[in-house]
Amino acid sequence: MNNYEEFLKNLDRAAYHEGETSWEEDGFTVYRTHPWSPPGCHDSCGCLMYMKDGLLDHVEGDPLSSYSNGKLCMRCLDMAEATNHPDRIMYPMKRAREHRGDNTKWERISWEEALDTVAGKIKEYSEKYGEQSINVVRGTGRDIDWGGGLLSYLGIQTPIFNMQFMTGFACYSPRCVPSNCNFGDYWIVDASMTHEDRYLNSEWKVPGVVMIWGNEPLKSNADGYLGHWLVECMQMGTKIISIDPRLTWWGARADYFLQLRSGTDVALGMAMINYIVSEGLYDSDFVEKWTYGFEELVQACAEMTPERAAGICDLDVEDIRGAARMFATEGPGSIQWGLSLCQQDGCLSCTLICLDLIAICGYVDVPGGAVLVRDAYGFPHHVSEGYLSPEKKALTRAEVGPGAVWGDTRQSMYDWENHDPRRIRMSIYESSNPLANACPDGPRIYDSLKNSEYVVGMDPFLTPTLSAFADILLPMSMAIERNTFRSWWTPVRANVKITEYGECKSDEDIAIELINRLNPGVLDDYIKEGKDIMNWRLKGDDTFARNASLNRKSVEAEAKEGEEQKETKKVFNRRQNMAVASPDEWDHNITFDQLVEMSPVYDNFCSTYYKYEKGLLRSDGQPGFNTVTGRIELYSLTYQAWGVPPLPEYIEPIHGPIGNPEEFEKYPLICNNGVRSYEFFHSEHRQLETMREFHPWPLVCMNQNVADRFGIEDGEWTWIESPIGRFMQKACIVPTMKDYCISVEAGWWYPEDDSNEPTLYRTFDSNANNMLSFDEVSPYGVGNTHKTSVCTIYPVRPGDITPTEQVLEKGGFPLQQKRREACRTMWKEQGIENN
Amino acid sequence: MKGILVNYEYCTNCHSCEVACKKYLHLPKGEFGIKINEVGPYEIENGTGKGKDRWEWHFAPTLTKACNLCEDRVEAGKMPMCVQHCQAWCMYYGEVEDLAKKMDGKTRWALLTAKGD
Repeated sequence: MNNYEEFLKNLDRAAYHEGETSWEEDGFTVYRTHPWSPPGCHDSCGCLMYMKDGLLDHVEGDPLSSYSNGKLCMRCLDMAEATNHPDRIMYPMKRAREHRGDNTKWERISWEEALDTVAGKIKEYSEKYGEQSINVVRGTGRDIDWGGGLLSYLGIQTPIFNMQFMTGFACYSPRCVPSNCNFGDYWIVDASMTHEDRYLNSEWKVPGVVMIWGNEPLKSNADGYLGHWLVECMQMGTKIISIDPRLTWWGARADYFLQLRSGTDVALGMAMINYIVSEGLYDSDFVEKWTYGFEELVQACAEMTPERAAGICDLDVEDIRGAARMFATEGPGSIQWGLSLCQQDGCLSCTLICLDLIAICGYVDVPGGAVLVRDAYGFPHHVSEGYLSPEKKALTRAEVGPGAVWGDTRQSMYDWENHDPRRIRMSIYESSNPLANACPDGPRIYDSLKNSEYVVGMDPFLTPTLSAFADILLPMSMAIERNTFRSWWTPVRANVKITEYGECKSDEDIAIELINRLNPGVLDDYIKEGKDIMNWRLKGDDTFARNASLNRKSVEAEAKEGEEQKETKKVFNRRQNMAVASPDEWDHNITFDQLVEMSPVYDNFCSTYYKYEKGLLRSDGQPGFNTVTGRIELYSLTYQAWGVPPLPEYIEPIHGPIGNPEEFEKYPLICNNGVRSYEFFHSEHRQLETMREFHPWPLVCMNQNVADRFGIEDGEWTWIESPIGRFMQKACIVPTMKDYCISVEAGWWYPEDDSNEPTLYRTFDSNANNMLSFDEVSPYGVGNTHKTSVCTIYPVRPGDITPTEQVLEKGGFPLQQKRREACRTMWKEQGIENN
Repeated sequence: MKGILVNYEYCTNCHSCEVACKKYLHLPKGEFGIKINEVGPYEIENGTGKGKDRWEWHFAPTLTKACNLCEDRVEAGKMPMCVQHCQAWCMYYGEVEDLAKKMDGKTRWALLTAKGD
């Protein structure tokens, strides 16, 4: 699309029932809504749901939604298959603990019994071991922490809200928190999505250049951002710089494709800063007026010349110079950054270099640049620990490093493994399937997780995780069976409940029922089900909003007196718990039903440019950024307070040819973990025939030289092995990577296989978690080393022991067996019988 | 004659056109109304080796015998399923004469027509 005006002119709005939220059409009842979950997703696109006899028949994109303009991904287009799938859990069910892993033993129970049992267990463990002995294991996509957050913080009142069991909080936090601290706000690439009139907005400009760095936004659509918006921008003239060890769609169309060695991103970023400054290409006006610590930044990058970085990153020096020049001179520019920056040793410095590049080029909050955004109208897109009292917050186990009060996954793992008396006793898996998805070292921890004392599963499908561990299953609603709204950035979009399925409930429904059993009186009397919670949010009755504004006042007060580092640390510890509300005033008389009619609703905050000049970012109304200095902190006072280097520094990954040459000799390939696909959201959608038609098997990709060197044929099942363990995927020979690199896919399990132990849908067979360590967190405490792990590959041969057999029948891979033996000896010495 | 114009320079192989069409026409596994074909990726031997000229990797759809250009939808004022859902927004529906005028030679385009009755 390069002519939005023409698109709108030719759009027959009447044919798509403008102004109606539901209507009859050709024997269907049609509903207009912005759904997302499940199938899980970070976005919520305009959809038209075609219903017949109470069942979803098919889904179309809504061309009248300015958010997505009728475009829809294959998963939403296939939503009827997911929603009506015969494998869905329809009723609450229980089984005795000794039957974990045996799905023939499930017994249907009433909701009353299910909720009373769960509430009873929560009370029991809270009283016996404290609230911190219970964790909610959240995933992403279904409702991004809403129901699970309510349950954790208002129901159980535990701070242990683990992100999947991903070690080092290494998904979004290492980008989000530093951005909020050093910029004072979060930013996204301005593809006009903050404006209702989109590409026709009079202030908006087509981005001149976008660096796609460490992610494939077309497939991941992560963090509330639709990747295809950038394709629209390209058609209007945006130039692309692709920074990735793999050639992606972007790399093949980029002006510069910087195919760097995994984990060297910081060196590249520092060299770009070095070049931009030494060539005088930076925005000196902006730097002088609005940033803090420029000289220190220049100093920090002085040694990292493009020549030096070229050697470290395995790049052509001219490409580094050319890309840096293009980024600085062909703006407005911005960076579409991603997960890879969080899953390497240099994690927190990765975040800094991106922020620094945007800042010194003067692209902050300019049209077509890096637009500063908050959750629309201040409705937080996830429930924060702001609900917890300081005493309950303090129950979190271990110093978790910057970024979160949440439970530290690594600490939880060690506690389980060491049978520590402070370990987690009861787990609630809410929208997460860590065995198949984000639990590094899964086989190592499998035994310990299996011996959790009580486990609750909340999911629409039985997963490998729940098959192995759950004692009780609560059936979850799909998108069309729940009322909720999304406010991740802008606009506010309602997802309306159209029908019911079995006895399924939404995350919010369950949270309410449990909160009322555990802490009666915490919620207002009118709150009975999910829609009431949405009205509660809309009315501003949300106690969190009140807490946030209280926090905010004290943060400002502390900031004024805070010269001492200790004081600063206190400020930032408060800051990280604080959601920054949008100053836009929501009309609190609007009900959820009205929101359904109004969606999508855009706020003014996100759509306003140069907010720092206009005094819109700070609660004191002064111009400047929402930081302690009021400036963008190129020298990061937050990092300093955390004891993290306040300026970017390059550290060599601990794995790989330079970090550990001895290991690399034996494991001579860098493995790019976590490849995403159009067909799947994380570990979801594997049971959908249509998705598997397009993508039947997990793929390990490599170039022809690698295949020849390791004797791999195209299409052949291939072992990928690290010092820790191995797994198998099907070889795909493509010239998209260098001779020392391969890539593997994430999230695979086989719903078509046996759900029971010792098979568990063969979730260990193709699982990259087998080769990853949960011990390895970056030196900064957040971030891990997953993107720089090393491996060797060889063909799968008949008779090879599968990981399923290895883990479920033979006690794990050798290293794990050794560790487990050591643990068992330790437990025995302590007189512990069973773990 | 009506047709579908594709600016296939920008096709991302997201499969939305294929699935939107399949679901609408209730086509069984393995059958399509529109199908994406892939060329590459390969490094162009005699290219400049730099920037956009370095790689060949494109996707482009063609229409099968099952395609009737969504006659019923078009009659009701709607877009064909593939055009409506194309995430890359690189597909256009209309009279082939009008569509042909959009082909500007700056990027690669293909004009597709379906088999008539």
